[in-house]
Amino acid sequence: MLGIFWLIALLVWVAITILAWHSERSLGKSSGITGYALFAVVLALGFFKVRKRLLVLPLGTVRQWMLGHVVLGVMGVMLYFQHTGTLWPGGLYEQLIAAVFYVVTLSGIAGYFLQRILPHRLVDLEGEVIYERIPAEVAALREEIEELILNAVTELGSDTLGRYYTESLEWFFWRPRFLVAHLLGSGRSAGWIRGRITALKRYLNDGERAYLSRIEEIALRKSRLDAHYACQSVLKFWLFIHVPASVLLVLLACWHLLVVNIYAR
Amino acid sequence: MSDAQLMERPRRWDAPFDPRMSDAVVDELLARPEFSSIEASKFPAAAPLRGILQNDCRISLYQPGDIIVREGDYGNSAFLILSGTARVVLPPGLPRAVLGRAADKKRNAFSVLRSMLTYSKVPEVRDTAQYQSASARLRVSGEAHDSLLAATDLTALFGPGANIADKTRLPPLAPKFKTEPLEAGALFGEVAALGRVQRSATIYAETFCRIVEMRWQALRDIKNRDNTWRERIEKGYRDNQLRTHLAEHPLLAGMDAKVLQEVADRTLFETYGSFEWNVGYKRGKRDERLTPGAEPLVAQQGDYPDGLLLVIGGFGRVSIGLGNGARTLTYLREGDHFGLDELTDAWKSGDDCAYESTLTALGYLHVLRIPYSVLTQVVFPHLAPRRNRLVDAAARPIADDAFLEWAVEQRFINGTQTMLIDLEKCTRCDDCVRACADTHDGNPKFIRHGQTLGNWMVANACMQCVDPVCMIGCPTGAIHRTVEGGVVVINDLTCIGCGTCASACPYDNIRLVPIREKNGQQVLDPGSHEPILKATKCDLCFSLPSGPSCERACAHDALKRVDIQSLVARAAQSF
Repeated sequence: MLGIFWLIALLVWVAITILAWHSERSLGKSSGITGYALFAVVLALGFFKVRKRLLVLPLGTVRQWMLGHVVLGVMGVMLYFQHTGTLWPGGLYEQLIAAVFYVVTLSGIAGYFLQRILPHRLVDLEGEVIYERIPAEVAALREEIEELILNAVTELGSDTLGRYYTESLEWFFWRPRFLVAHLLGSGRSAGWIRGRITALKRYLNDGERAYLSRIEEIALRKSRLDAHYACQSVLKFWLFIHVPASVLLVLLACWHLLVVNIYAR
Repeated sequence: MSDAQLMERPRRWDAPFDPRMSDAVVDELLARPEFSSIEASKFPAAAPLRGILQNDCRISLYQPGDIIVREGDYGNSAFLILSGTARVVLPPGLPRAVLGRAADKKRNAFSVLRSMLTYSKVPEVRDTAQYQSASARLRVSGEAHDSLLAATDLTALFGPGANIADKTRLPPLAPKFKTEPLEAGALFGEVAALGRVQRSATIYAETFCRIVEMRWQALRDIKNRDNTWRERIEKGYRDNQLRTHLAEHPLLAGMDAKVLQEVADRTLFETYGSFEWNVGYKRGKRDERLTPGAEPLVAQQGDYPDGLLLVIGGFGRVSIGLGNGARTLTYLREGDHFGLDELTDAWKSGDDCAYESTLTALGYLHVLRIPYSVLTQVVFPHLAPRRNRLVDAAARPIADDAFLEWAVEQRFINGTQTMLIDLEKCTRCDDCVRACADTHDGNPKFIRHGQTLGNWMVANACMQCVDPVCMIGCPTGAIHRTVEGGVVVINDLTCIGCGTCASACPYDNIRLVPIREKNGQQVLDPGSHEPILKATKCDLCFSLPSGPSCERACAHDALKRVDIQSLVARAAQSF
C-alpha cells in the first residue's frame, strides 16, 4: 500500500513540476501552481485528524490515511521549497508561515520516529501500564514503601532505614524522576537506586537487609513506572505541538491565499 | 440524596418473554403431560414453575410453511410443539437462498454521526423511562416468521406440480430434501439454546402449529429440577450431536446413510470436565493450579487406543512429557480428532501402537469415540495417506512454544475476535478507545489493558468466545447471541445488573457500570440507595456495516481482532 502511495505522490509531483516549468517558460509565475498544490496538500494533511473521528464514513482505514499522511507530508516539504525557493523567505508574514511550517514538519518527523522507537522501549520495560493510572500507581508504591519502612523501624528498633528513606528515597518516590534518562534508554535510574542501596548495606544487619531488598524491588518497580511515564508522555505530547501548529498553518495559509489573490492581481 | 434519581432495581421478570401469557394459558400448559409431571415444589419461591412458564415462555402460532428455526442461526430458546406437525430438514439441508435469513439491523453513517454530536458527556447515561415502557418490552419479544412459501423458486423447493394452494398443509419438499416429522410433544432447539451454538437444522411448520417457545433460562431451570426433562434433553443432545457430527466429519464424508447409521450405533458419546468450566478455571487461575496435570485426562501417552476420538465440543490439550513437565503440542476443538496416527499404524502393522501424546480436557470436552473395529471396516480402507502426525509439532524449538502455551493456559483459544495488540507498534494514543466511545454514545466498551506476552497484549475486550460461558447464568436472557453472525451482545433493556455474566467471564471482559440520568444524576435503588448497575461489554460494533471501530481506528496497524486458532495455526506452519 505504501509503495502505491509513493508512486501516486511521485506522479502528481512530477505533473505539478512540469506544469510549473511550463508556466515559467510561458513567462508566467510557477508560484501560483506550486502554491495551490501546497495548499491542497496542507488541507489534506489536516483532514487526517478529522477523518480519525469520522470512522463511519467509508473513506478507507485510518491506517491507509496514516500512510498517505506520511507520503503527503514529504510531498508537502518538496512543494514548499519549490514554492518559496528558499529556506527562509523575506517578509514578516511569510517568515511566520515558514516558522510554523517548520514546526509542523519537524514535529511530524520527530513524531514519526518517536512512534517507531518508544513502543519498543516500552515493551522492553516489561509490564504494561495505562498512562492515566501512573500517578495512582506511584502513590500506591509510595504508600507501600512507607508502610514497609514503618514496619521495619517498629520491628527492628533501628531508624537507619527510616533515615535512608527520608534522605534519599522520599525524593525519588515523590513524582516521576530521571525522565530524560528514561527517554534516552539509559539505566541511570536503576543505577541511582543500586548505588544508594550498596552504600547503605554496610550499616545494616541481616533483618534490615531483608527489608532493604524488598525496598530495592519496590524502587525498581517505581523506576519502571517512571520509564513508562517518560515514554508515554512524549508519545502523547508531541501531538500537542504538531496538531495546534497544523491548525495554525492552515489558517495562516488561508489568509496568505486570500491576500495573494486580492493584492497580487 | 437530592442529586440522585430513584428507580426500582430491575428484576428477572420485569420484561417477560411475552406479556400476553395469561393465567389461562399457563394453566393449560401445566395440565399437559410434559409439565404436569414436574414437581412444582422443587422450584424455589423466587422462580416458581408457574412463574417460569408465565414469564420465560410464550405461545407462537405458525402457518404451514413458516420457518421455526433456521440452520446456522443462533438461538436462545427451545420449542415444544403443542399441536400440529413440523418437519426437520436433514443434512445437507436447504439452500441458503431459500432460508431467507433476516439481516440484523445496521446503523447508517448519518445515525452514528448524529449520536457522536449529541451524546452526553456524562458517562453511562440511560433513558430510564425506556426501562418502564411496555413498548420496549414488546420489542424484546418481537415475533415474525419467514416462510418457505416466500422462496423465489418454489418448483425447485417442492418439485413440479406441488399443491401449494392448500392452506392447511404444506406439500412435501422435493425428494432431494430429506425431512422427518416432529409431532405434538416434540422438543427441539434445546441443543443450540443450552449449548450456545448454531442451530444444526432447519425446522418448518407442515401444518398449523401451536408451539411453546421457552427461553433457555426456563429450560435450564426445569432441567435442573426435573429428572425426566434432564434425561430427555441430554438424550436429545447426544443423538443430535452424534448424527450431525458424524455426517459432517471429513473422515466419514461420502459414506452412505446405512453405513453411517451403523457407525453411529457403535459410537460412544463421552464428556470430560465440566460444562461450566469457567468456575473451576477462575479458581485455578487464582490458586495458580492451571497445569496439564490438573486437567481431566482423556487419553494418556503410552496407553493403547481403542477408538478414534472426534471432538464435537469444548477444547482439549495435546501434550507430551518433557523433562519434569508437559509440553503442549497443540489444542483440539470441534471438528478435530485424536488417535488417528496410532490407530492407522496399528492397522497397517497389525501390532498395538500406544498413544504418542496425551489428551486432556481444557474445561470440558465432548468427544465421540468410534471403535477401532468400525474404523478398520469403513474408514481406513478409504483413508488418504497423511503427511503430518500430531507429534511432528514436537520438532519445533521449545522457545517457539511460548505463544501456544500462553494462549492455552489463559484460555485465549476460546476467542474468535480477540483484541490482539502489537505493543511494538502501539503508540498508546488511545484512538481505539476514543473510536469505541464515539460508536457507543461516549462509553468505551473495553479497556486497553490486559495480559501480555512479549510484545503481544490481549486487551480486556470481549473475545466473542466459541463457548460464551458468560451466557450460562443470565437470569433474563439479556446477554444473548444475535441471530445473524452470533455476536454475543447485552440487551440493556432487560439487563438487571446482577453481575452473573461479569463473574462468569473468565477474562474479566464484562464490566458493571452505574447508570445515570441525562442530567448526570446517578440512578439509585429506592430501598437500598445503592446504584443501579448495567453490564457492558464490547459488541464488536455489530450494528455498524464497517465492523469494529477500534480496529479501523488504529493508524499503526497495531490492533487486530483475530481468531487465536488462525494465529496458532500460522505459528505451527512457520516452523
